Amino acid sequence: MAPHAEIEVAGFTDTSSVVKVEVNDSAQTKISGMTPARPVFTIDDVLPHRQKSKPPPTIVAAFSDANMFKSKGCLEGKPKAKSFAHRLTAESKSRKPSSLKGAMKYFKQGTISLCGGLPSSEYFPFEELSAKIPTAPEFTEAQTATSGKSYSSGKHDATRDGKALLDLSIALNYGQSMGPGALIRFLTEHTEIVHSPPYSDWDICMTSGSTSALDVALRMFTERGQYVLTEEYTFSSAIETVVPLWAKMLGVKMDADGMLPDDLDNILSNWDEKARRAPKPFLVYTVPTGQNPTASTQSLQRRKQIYAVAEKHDLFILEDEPYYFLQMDPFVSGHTHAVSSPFEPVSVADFLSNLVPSYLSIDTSGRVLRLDSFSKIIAPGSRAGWVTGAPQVIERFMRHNEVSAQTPSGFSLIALYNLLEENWGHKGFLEWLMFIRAEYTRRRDIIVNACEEHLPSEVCSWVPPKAGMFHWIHVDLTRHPVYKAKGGKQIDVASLLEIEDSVFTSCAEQGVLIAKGSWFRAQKATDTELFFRTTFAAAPADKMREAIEKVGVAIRKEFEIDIEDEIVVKGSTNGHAK
Amino acid sequence: MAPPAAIEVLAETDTSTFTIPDRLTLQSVAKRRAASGKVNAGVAAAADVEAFKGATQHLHKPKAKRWDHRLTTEAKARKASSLKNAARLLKTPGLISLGGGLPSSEYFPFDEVSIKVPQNGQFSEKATHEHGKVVTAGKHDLAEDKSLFDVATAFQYGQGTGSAQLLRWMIEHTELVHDPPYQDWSSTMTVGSTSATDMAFRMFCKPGDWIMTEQFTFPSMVETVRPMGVQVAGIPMDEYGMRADALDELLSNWNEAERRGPKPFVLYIVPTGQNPTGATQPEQRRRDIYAIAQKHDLYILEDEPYYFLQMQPYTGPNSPDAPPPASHEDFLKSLVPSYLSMDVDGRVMRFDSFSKVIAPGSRLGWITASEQICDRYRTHADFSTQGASGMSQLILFKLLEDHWGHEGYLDWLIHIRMEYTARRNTILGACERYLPKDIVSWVPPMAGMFHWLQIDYTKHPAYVAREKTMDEIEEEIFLKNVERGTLLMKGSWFCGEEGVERDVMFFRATYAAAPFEKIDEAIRRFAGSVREVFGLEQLSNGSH
Repeated sequence: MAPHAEIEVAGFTDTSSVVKVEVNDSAQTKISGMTPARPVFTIDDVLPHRQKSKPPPTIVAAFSDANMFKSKGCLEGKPKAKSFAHRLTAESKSRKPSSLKGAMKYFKQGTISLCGGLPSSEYFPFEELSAKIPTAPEFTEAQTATSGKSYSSGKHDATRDGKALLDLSIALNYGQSMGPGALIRFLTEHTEIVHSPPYSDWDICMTSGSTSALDVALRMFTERGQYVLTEEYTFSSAIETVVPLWAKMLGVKMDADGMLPDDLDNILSNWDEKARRAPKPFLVYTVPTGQNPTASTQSLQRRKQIYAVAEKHDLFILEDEPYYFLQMDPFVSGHTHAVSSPFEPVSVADFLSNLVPSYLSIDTSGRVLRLDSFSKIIAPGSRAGWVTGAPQVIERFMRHNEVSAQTPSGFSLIALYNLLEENWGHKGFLEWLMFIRAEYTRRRDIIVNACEEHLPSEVCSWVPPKAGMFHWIHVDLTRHPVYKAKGGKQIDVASLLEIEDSVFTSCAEQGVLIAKGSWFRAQKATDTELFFRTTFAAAPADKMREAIEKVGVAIRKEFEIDIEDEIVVKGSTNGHAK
Repeated sequence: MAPPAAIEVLAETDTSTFTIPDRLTLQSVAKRRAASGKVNAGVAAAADVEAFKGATQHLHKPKAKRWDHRLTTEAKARKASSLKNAARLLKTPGLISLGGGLPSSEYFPFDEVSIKVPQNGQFSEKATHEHGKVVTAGKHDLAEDKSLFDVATAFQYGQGTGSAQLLRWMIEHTELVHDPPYQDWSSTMTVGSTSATDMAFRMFCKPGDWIMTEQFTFPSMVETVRPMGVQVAGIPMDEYGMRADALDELLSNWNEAERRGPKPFVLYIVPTGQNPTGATQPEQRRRDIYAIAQKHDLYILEDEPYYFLQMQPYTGPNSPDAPPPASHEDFLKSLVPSYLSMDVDGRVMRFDSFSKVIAPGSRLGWITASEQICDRYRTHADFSTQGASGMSQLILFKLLEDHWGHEGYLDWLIHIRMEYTARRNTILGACERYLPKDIVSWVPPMAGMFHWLQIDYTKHPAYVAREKTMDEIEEEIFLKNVERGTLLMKGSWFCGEEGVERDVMFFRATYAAAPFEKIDEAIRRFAGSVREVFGLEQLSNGSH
């Protein structure tokens, strides 16, 4: 049986089809009588803007980019990004576009292509994919089970039937590495609504999750022997990604507001290539919000200071923001915020104004590559996210993706499309993020209150997290018997790690798993203080309390604290001092 | 090497004997599963590959060689994720974890996911539309004992191996089809073979190295290795693919100074339906190349996206079609044996992909290699791709395991085989009808998506008169195609090795996607271009 003419695939290379660069008419054409461009693009502007603009392309493996969907205010009156070609690795610079794409420019109406090796969607054994998803704002698991709606994508909804912007015949075939147009449009609008970058030609590429995106970014910017600057405690997987590239992590000192700009400037201003045996570093990897593992969140002031250091030393910043939307209400001792039922979202404007502005939103030079991920706000198994940055950087990123991860899974793309575009829209998505924020606030309150109740205050201290999934607990080594026995001499790393392991093991023996601070040390075996990371993301409330109580037992045992002696001081010094 | 006879008995110790087990069959899968017990199927559960392989099934086989001398320092330097190491403690019953940063599945906004898929044996798009089956995965099916896999588990973070549930299916499938002849083989999931080959090259190649591949090869592969500072040596081919004698000659006469690189040891091959030539290596060719690999201690990357696009024998334009395979056993026997199936040393990494047989958008496949190599691959994946999309894993699990099973999947592959046979026959029929055979020649493809057409440019009047080069004639035909409204790929785009003199001209046509009547029309236009460029008379009404 011959396939339907409507679904003919005009393949060019073996993984892509027709590429058409279309710049949005409405963004360039002056409409008479129009008021001047609005300075801010809000969710209310989305629909009118879409009505004036071309829809995303609905053919297999079609090209799209952020410029196709940007508003007028976004394109006009802003500078273009600077060039960062001098920061790219030889590997990245040498990547060429697929030579097979040379054939593309020859495609015209009526041409029959026997070029591309894209299979026919006739042989995809899926007629329809449905997902039952929550209707805003009825977001809880129980509500979704009862009032959730099923959204379906058929095989030819977009390509033949014109019912949708994405269908299985597109999503399940090969695609351009930036992702399908329908999602690039959504993410472009989202970026304008949330970040409104101060330069005009930023672009977006979807990723197979931020772990993959970080691996790509590091290969784009890190030559052998170079240093990458990061927080002194950092995501352990980032360290483990850097090391096999023959690069090294250099930890910048931090406080509760994250990386210290003075220390960053100091390191760079006094860089001695000979002593360090490495060129002056220029790549900063930072998790500005709800940092893993310390939960520190950089204030706007802090971000501006670090950005100024970046401008001074011509740095390039990898802004890894999986927890950006997990920013919480301030902690109040003894109080647990309830999540309203039914959930009552605040206005979108209120929600957005409470978020700490991103590096992307203050990036006048285009020296930031922001990594966003659906893992923490939708589901890790989506293995999907996106990067936003200067067009030159995004183009190199895409070249790399073409020969590695290619695109996110088509099943993930369809699920995200139905969730974000067909079901929620921008308002529903932002309300979902408000719901998640409320849930994480409640969970954070439970664990911090449990710590106040169960941990020995004379050795344990913390700053209640403002964002993220983690609670970072400092344990005062000077209260340890070994320290006392040594007559107040600094505890060496080996003894520190022994004490840490002893607490870890004692927790595990009681059936509680926590993470050791030393796992997150940017430079291994340079620890001087003792930390543990706990997460409040997943365990039920009673289990969290039970676990923290057991952590308390383990620490008291290790530090030989008698619970009887302690009751005397309880409550007076239970501190947030770090 | 013949498969071991079922009753063969070996001496295990001085006083006991050991019976070589029968090869795994479709019928014995259930028995093995029962014997290996319940799958540890929870969140981010580590897969027990040995149990999936059957505890005693492979003990009589030799162990794989070690590849420490071939792995890059980058690959050797990779350490297991400290966080994922700690996750092993998660197996402790009753453990409360405040350790890993896994979000609660409460906050995955999906209650259930459904797919409408073909019933066994009724595979056409139309039949699926009319009476396909809806298969549903609920959020907590696992906890509720309804299925081994569910939304809450699949949409969570997972291991670099991929989920145990789907990996078990892959391992059984690999054993049913290939039965690797060494003991410690293993499989691990990939996010598709493009990513997997990128990772494999990073595991084995360093700047300044050379790899070897077919003389004509997939340009993306070349574009993957060149930025790594790795060069590509093209091995001459014939209609059966890479020539074993040419491979041996290259290696035996490798001149490090001239080539500015050490003697290569990575051999990248697409043995079946090779892109772009469509060539399929017969069994003997594979055995010959494997022997060369042993002689020079090569490591083989066997990239097999088109393995199951092996087609029915081509019977010619006016002969009846060959009957479809009568049984699953017949179908499996009809397939050319893989390198993996003859890999006694464990020197092969095989790449399987669902892209060409299920859908490219699944972005999911698997590799099979010795445990040492799989371990390095997994460790790398933990810091780059992580596991494949959980949505893909769940949907493929529902299709392949809960719905079709191994038998149903083989039926689907037979369906695909028959469909590609019909497509291939369409393009060959059109070529027979329209092309001038004294100028254009071809070998009917046995597998894959590509038809490789050789042009005898020496018959071009301007070539004879020394007025035009081969490259100019190639370009002339290409542009004439554009003018006549058809697009075929130039053969010169597929030359892997830079700066090598060519004396052959090809065009690549794919029959994978265009509707049948358009394939016919495109070839008719192509024939018109060739005739025009060579100054031949056009066919009067499109036929001889």
